[in-house]
This record gives sequence, structure tokens and C-alpha cells, in this order.
Amino acid sequence: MIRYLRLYLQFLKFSFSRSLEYRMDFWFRIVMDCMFYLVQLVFFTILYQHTDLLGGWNYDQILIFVSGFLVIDAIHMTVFSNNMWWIPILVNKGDLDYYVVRPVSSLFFLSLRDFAANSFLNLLIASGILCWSILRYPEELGTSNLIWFLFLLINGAFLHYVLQMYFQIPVFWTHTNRGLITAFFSATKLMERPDKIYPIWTRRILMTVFPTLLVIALPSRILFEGPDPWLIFWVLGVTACSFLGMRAFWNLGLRHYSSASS
Amino acid sequence: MSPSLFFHLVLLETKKLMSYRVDFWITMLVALVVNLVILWALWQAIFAESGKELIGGWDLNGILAYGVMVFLTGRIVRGGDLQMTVATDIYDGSLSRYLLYPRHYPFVKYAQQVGNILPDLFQSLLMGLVAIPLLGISTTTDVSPMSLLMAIPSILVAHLLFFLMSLTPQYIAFWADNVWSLSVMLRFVTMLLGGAMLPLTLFPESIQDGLRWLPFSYLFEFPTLVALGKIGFVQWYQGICYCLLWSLLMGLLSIPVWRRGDLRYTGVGI
Amino acid sequence: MIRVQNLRKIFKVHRKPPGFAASVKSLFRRDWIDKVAVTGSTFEVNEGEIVGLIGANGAGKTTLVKMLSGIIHPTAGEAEVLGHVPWKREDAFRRQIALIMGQKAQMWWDLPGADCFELLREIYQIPPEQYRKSLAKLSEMLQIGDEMNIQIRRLSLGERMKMELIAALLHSPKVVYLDEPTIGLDITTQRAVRDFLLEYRRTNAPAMILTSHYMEDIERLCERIIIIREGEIVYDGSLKRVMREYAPYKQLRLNVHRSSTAPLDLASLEAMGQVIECDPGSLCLRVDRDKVPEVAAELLRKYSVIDLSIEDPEIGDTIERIMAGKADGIR
Repeated sequence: MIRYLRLYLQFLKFSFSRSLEYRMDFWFRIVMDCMFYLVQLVFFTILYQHTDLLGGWNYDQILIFVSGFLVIDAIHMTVFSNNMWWIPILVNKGDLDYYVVRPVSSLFFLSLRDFAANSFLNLLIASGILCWSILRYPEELGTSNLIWFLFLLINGAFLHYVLQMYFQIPVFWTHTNRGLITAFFSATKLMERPDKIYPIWTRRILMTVFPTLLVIALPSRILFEGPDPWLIFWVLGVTACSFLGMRAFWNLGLRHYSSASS
Repeated sequence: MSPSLFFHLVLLETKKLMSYRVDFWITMLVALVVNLVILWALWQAIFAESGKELIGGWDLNGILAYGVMVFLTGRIVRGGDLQMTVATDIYDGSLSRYLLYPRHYPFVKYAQQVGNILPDLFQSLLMGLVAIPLLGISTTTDVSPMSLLMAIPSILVAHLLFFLMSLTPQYIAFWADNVWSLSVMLRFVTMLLGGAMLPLTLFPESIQDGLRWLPFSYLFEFPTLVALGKIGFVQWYQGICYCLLWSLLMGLLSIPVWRRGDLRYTGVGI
Repeated sequence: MIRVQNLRKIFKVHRKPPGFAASVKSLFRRDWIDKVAVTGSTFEVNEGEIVGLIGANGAGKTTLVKMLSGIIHPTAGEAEVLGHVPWKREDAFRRQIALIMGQKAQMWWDLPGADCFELLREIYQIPPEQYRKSLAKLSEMLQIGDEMNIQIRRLSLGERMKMELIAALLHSPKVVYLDEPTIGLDITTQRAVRDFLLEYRRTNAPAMILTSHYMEDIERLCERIIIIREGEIVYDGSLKRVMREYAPYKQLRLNVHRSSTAPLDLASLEAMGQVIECDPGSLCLRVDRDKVPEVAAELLRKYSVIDLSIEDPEIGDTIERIMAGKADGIR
């Protein structure tokens, strides 16, 4: 465990220096993400010009929900996105060999090795927006609600990564997963809307088979409505199961890779 | 550029795209289903929770039709996967090969883009056939064979405009190593201001007035409104002219940027 | 055909001291330094000539080729290829040149060669008749058959290179740049590529500039070489002359009967030339060119020689010495 932490620190150091090399890109990425945040906030603001409630949430609540998923997006961009970008390329070029032979979990290595230092600033900005939306919230939010919300938010970011891996791993068999990844990103749009707008059967699917509502919608619900033990248990349980399944899937992919490439 | 070369490039790109069969269908199906689900859930909830009959001049079925149609036309206009290809060519040195060819680079790229349109058009048509019957009848739209026919040239000029608009940010790759963020930015902005996320009639009046002076609405809103039968013939004709004018402007804008950038090109990787 | 005068290329690179603080600082301010890739080259290449461009990695060969093919603009200087300024990229110019890069695939990765060729026919507007002939001729010379209908990415490196050659030469260019065309290929394919290039030159007589790290490419293909060191041309002339000028010695190698005559006497050998090898039965001496007959005669007189050979030193060694700036008499 300690060993992995130390390794991750190395990744961090390396990534920071490297991303600072590309000066323009550094600034562009920051501006890009800010633009993304702005577009999302504007989108919901315009919607609320025409309605007072959406999925049972008012404008103040939706702001917290939106900034919540902005934070998730920032975590994804900072920690995972570069790595996700590389995986299909490495698999296709047969360059995975370099990583498989190292005495470290290849899943760990390939998921975390490239830390997007330039997005880190955006993580700060997104967190700032989240703080702002929470502070401007007119009603009292209980401390335990908040703590559970933040904890489940981090969990949500992890779950988001796990889900994406399900769409990455098929690249071991299909050679190109561009379509799958595009599909994943369109599918995650589902999580960017309040859970209650979906009809009951859609919600069930989105909490089990493709549990994208657990990423941010349910944590927000817990923030507004108080920690429901069963709901928390469900979120964490599904995340754990998804992760275990993903790891098994990864190993299967690796086995296929090594047998195909030799 | 000779028409036969243009046609050839178009065909080649189409073939290439079709060779990724699995991708082609997965992308299409998932995007369609997800969009339908979100659209329907969102607007149905908004209409129910606000208790309104009309929002921004649209009824529920009308706004759903808009959503589906803007999705179907938008993906054609944006030109699929080739959005970043110019920047990528500059970044990895693939541009070198095009510089050797006795053809203007942007024209070759445009032909490739158009090649991407064919499968997209085919996909959109198929999707439309599946999705439109599900929509129900709206009093605020008037889709007809004529309106759909008029939409095709509108989509093509919108595509040209989008291509030329994204050219300049991509040329920035001559100076910066990685400009995909710029293109993503362009996408966010055009999607919002061009009406791909929401009908522009939902925006506050003052913003709507401002947007009339910008090219964005010709990208997504205009072809969609045409398809939905909300644009008269004269307006349509004018719209196409404006769109072409904007394209010309964007094209002209890209020329000095190319000239400056070209001087800096180092042809890395060879 | 190719005329180059004082061609210079300077790249600006940014210099960053190590360390995190310096990284952060470089976000706001950068120090740029000039890296000279090519310093004022001047030379000419004529029709039917194959010129070998030789130099260590980073010596500026590729930069030179890129400028001459019009891919990049020079910082200063002039060049004229077929009467055109390359970096103006006139169609008339581009229709008559080709660039083949061993390191970088130029063809469409996910299409079969045949499709790529068809596209190139359109791009270069090759008349159908000429296209058919060229394609048939080139594929026959390179012994390409069914491979033409297989996706490029599924071909072996050698086959791919042959496809690249066909693709580059379909429009019968008058000037051909070859940047390490044999890199990574096996010996047989290397030979095939070399034979092909010679044959192509015989029939089409283009001007060719070839860069390669393989001495065999140079020896087989080029009568004339240009050696570049740190962006500067240090030698331009025939391959034979380089040996005369920069290797003004030969190697004498002899085997002697071990038992007979006088033992090998090191001191007297040193007086004749530089001793490279001195074993009981064999001997190798490096001797100035003009002293060779004299030394050989003396050796034959002094020892009972089984055989004697007089060799030029390895071309590769000589060129390597020039590239490293060690050879005598370098400008």
C-alpha cells in the first residue's frame, strides 16, 4: 500500500513537470474546463427561467448538484482522463508489454500513471464553485449530510472511472474502442440530470445495471434529504461490486492480450 | 480541386469509417437511446413541474422534435471524428505528406470531412426513421418532405461553416503542442450558442438579440428549424446566404494564421 | 536540378533548468535558445545523380531534406529545385518530386495499397494509361502482387516499404528524396530496395538525395556523398575521393611462417608505419599511401611471407572519423 502511494507520488512529480512543459496547452486546458463549467451553469440557469422545480429540486439545489458533477468531472480530468486516453493506444501498439512486465499492478499503473497537472487547477476551481453553491444555499445543511455528501462524491468519481473502464477493456478484443468510448460519454450525460426526472424503470436501470445515478445524483439527494443508511449502503455496495467485476474483466483482457500477442 | 479527386477522397473516408463496423453501430445506438431518454425525461419533467403548455413557443412534442432533430443534424454538422484531424496532422507531422501533394491542404481535409458526412447522413436518416414516429404530433412544428429536403443544403452549408470555424483554432497547433482543448472549447460554445443544447428561443430576449449577429445559430438551430418547417422559403434562402458569408469570413480569417504557422512548421517525427 | 545556396535553418527551443520551481516559472517566462540545424549549405545535384547525405543523428540531414521538399521554410538562404523554390509549394513543383521516409509511413494505414494508389492517381492527376504502366512496372520491379489488396497495417515492414516506394514513384517524379529508406529492413529486403533504386535510376534518371546510416546503401547507390557535421557540410565529393583524401593510408596485412627468418622486430616495424596488430604469425600495419610499395618490398625481403594484402581502410570508419571531426585536413 505504502509502496503504491510512493509510486503515485512519483507519477505526480513527473506529470507536473511534464505538463508545465507545454505552456499553451496548460492555459488552454484551464480555460476549456472553465468554459465547460460556465456552459453547464448557463444551461440550467436558462432551464430555470421556465420552471421553478426540476426533478423536485429548486434552483439552489440544482446549483449544488451541477457543481457536484463539475467536481467529479474535474477529478476525472485530473486523475484519469489522460490514462484512459492512452490505454487503447498502448494495447493496439503492443506497448502494454512494458507495463505488464513490471512488478506493479498493471491496472494501477495504467490508470494512474499520467496525472493531468494542468487540470489540477480546474479541480480547485470546480471545488470553489461547489463551496460557493453550498455557501449560498439558503437553508441549513446538516454536518453529517455534508460529510456523507463529500465522501460519496469522491466515491462517485471512483465509480465513474470504474464504469469507464468497462468501456475501455473491450479494446483487448476489438482493437478500436472509439465507438464504445463515445458511447460511454454519451451515456454519462444521464448522470448530469437530476435522478427524479427519469421514469421509475429507467431509474432502476441507472442504479443497478449502469449505476450512473450513484455518481452524483444520489449523493446530492443524501445532502438535501439526510443520510439514508440503506441508500448509502447501496451506493457503496454497487461501487465495490462494480470495481471487483472490472478488475476481473481487466485480468481477462490481459490474458487475452498476452495470448494474442505472443 | 477536381471534382473526381474530391469524390475520391469522400469515398475513401466513407470506406474507412465503415471498416470500423462495431464502432459505427454502437456509437449510433447508444447516442440515440441516451439522447431520447434524457430529452424525454427532462422536458416531460419541466412541462409537468412548471405547469406550462408552451415554453419559448414550443409545446412538449415540439421541443422533443427539436431536440431529436438538432441531435440528428448536429452530428452531421460537427463532422464526427475528424474534428481534430488538422491539429493532429500538425502535431504529429502527418501534415508533411499533405504538403508534398500538389493540392491545397484545407481542401483535401474538407473532402475528407465530407466523406464523413455520408455515413453520418445515413445514420441520421435511420435514426430519424426510428425516433420521429415515437414523438407524437406537435402544434408548433410542421415537418414535411419539402422541409426535410430544404434541410439538406442547410446542413451542408452549416457543416462547411463549422469546418472553417474550427480551422483557425486548429492551426494554433503550429504554436502549441496540444490544442484539442481549444477545439473542445469551440464545441461547448457552439453547442450552447448555436442552439444544440436548448432552442435559442428559451434564452432571454437580450441574448437572443445578440446571437443574431453571430454565426453560431447557423450551425445547429438554423438547419433544425428548417427541417421542422419553421422557416419560410425566403428566410431559408437568406439564411443560407448568411451562412456562406460567415463561412467565407472564417475561411479568410484562417489564411493569415496558416501563413504564419506554416513558417514555424518543423515537421516533427520524420 | 537542385541548387542550394547558403541554406540555413535555425530552430528556437526553450531551455528549462531542472526542478519544479523552474517549471512553474517557465509557465510565465521562457528562455529561448537558437539551435542551428543547418548552417549555410551550398551544393548542387544533377539529373540522374544519387547523392548520399551522411551525418550523425541530429546533424541536420533530415532538416535539409525537409527544406528541399518544401515541408519547412528555411531561416535564410536560397534553394531551387527544378526551377522552383520548394517552400512556395507550387503544384507544378510538387507534381515532380517525391519524398520517401523509412521512419514514417505516408500511406493510409487502414486501407489496402491498391486504394491508396488510386487516390494518389487522383491527387497527382496521372493519366490512366501512364498510371497503369507505372504501377505494373513498379510492382513488377518490387515483386508486389496480392499484397496490394491487403490493408497496409497488416503488411510486414518490408512489404510496407515496397508499397511506400510504389506510392512515392507512381507519378514518375524528377526529384526523389529518400530519408533512410532501408531502416529496419532485413538484409534481403534492403538489397531488394537498393537494386530497385538503381534500376529506377537507370530507367528514369531522376536526381536523388539519399540519407542513410547504412554504409552499404551509400556504397552501392552513391557515387557522390555530402557529409554533414553539426549542420555544416564538411565534405562534398566523390566517394572515391573521400578515401584518397581522408584516408591517406592503406593497411598492409601479412601472414608469415612462424619458424623461419628473423623474429618480428617491433622497433623496425614502427619505423615503417603504425602497427595495428602484431601476433606471432600475422601482422597488420597502417602505412602512408605513397610509402606502400617501399614498405611492402621491405617486408617481403625481411620475412618469409605466406601472403600479403594491401587494403583500403573501411569506408564506414573513414566517414565516421570525418563525422566526428577527427580526420585530418578537414575544412
